[in-house]
Amino acid sequence: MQLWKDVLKTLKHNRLVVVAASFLALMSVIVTVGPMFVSYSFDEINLDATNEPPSLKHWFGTDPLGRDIFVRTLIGGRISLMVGLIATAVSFIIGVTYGAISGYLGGHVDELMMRFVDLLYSLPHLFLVICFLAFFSKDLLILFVALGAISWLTMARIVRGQVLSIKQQEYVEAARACGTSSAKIIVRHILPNALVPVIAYTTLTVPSAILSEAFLSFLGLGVQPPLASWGTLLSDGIISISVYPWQLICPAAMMTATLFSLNVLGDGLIEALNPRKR
Amino acid sequence: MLRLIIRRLLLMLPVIFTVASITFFLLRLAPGSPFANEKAFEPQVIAALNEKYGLNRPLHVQYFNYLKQLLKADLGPSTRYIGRSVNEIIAEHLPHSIKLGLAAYSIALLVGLPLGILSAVYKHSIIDYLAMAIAVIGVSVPSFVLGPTLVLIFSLTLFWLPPARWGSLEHLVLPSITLSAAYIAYIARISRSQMLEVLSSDYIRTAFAKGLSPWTVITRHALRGATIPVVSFSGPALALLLTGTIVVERIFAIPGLGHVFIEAANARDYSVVMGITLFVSIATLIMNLLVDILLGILDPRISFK
Repeated sequence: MQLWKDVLKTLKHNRLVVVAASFLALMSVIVTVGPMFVSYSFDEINLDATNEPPSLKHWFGTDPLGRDIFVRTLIGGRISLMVGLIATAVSFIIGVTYGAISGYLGGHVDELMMRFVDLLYSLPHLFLVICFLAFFSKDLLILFVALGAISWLTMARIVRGQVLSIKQQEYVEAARACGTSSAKIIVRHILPNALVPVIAYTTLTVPSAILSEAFLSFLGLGVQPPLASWGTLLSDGIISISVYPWQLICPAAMMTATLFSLNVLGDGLIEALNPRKR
Repeated sequence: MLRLIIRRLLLMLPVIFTVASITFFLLRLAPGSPFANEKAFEPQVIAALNEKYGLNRPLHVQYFNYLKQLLKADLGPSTRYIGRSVNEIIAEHLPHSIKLGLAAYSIALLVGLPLGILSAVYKHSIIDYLAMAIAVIGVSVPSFVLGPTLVLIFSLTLFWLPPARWGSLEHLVLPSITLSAAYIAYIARISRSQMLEVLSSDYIRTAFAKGLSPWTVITRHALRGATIPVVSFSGPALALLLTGTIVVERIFAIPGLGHVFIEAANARDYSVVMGITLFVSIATLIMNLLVDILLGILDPRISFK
């Protein structure tokens, strides 16, 4: 794929993007294997060492129950990143399938399918998710699905627009003239070309899903204790902000750096994929 | 124009109906009743309460009663605060949220728009890089990080502003700055990319060719085109502002609509949760319509569809 080689080359020239990508790679490794190398577990309570400031023993200090905040931040990061990736994957699968079918079939079916998307678009999503989480269970799985279900709409619209314009190209017509089946035309010819702008949007879905999870956890509706996510750590940290500010600052810095890198990477991709700006 | 507005208003009905139905069934099918957790209530009292609020009737009867009530713009009584209606609760708490939202959006426009336009005019300069850094930071720092950080600096270290509560103008400063950060970022981005597009268009080149000064070209010719996408962003922005206030109101203990919504959701106050959700979606729809009308006036090329 010549296009991807070009994109990669453009990205490598953008120093900020390289730094962001390296940081994310490092972050993923630390979050995955890091907790194994710390001698505390995320739910280990030690009432003799509560609210300790950062030290060599506890890099980020301890919380009111004497739990090590560094380990909790790593575990929280693991969950936050997982939420971001799974929600994005869900929205990618639903959005691409829906958009491709709608765009390819066209006509009345397309009209109907897009009206449905418009309808869902105008619902107050986060309010509905909050209802759902508050009234049923605060299950992590529901959170994943709910966040994924919100973000597929934009994805479907982008894919549909792409498919609509690509399906009129000559090479698609040629494939159809050769007797290729519709499914094969979509998968082999249309989707690979339609996915270019979708990839950039997907990268930006990850930080927005992480942000939504943190938002819900902050309100006490997401991840439940003793498990931690960045949202719950921040919401715990705010309580003692005037006395033990590091309980807020340490996880906040980690989260902000990660979101910043993801946004920089997404913006870099969009710029690299835009032929006019290259 | 009038016919099109009526058409758009009619198109809102299915959305409102869907939201009303989803919230109704979601909340009624959820386990637990609004009175089940109250230990103080005896079974007879609960039965009487269920009778009073019609919760003992078959589901479809409750549903139709609810829809009938909605037609009269009545969101029903609260099941938690006995004797108060949802309309009253919304009317009492909404002004706080509106005040906060308007303050935040004004700050966002005042900061974001000049930032975006300047960075487009001075492309690839220090101003541009600085503005875009602010834009990325704005979307990367969540309000529940920014808010407490501002409190830590301006209230707990410098003692300039109150850390929480609500009432005077001073109380409004930190919450509205917190809420505006993300919008500053969005608006700066949108206006920058639009301004770049406008600046490369033919009529701007013509204006320069006539010998006009750069300042005149930008203020008289380019600015109008660059602000159009910012106007169209204002519609969805309202919906985002309303969700944003949920967190900001919690951080700063502001008695707004978002605060009430979360409290009601945790207390299973069915009618308040349904009422606020419905209210938010109707407000968003109307806001979007107003924005579209405004766009049609600003840019005659946009046909009002």
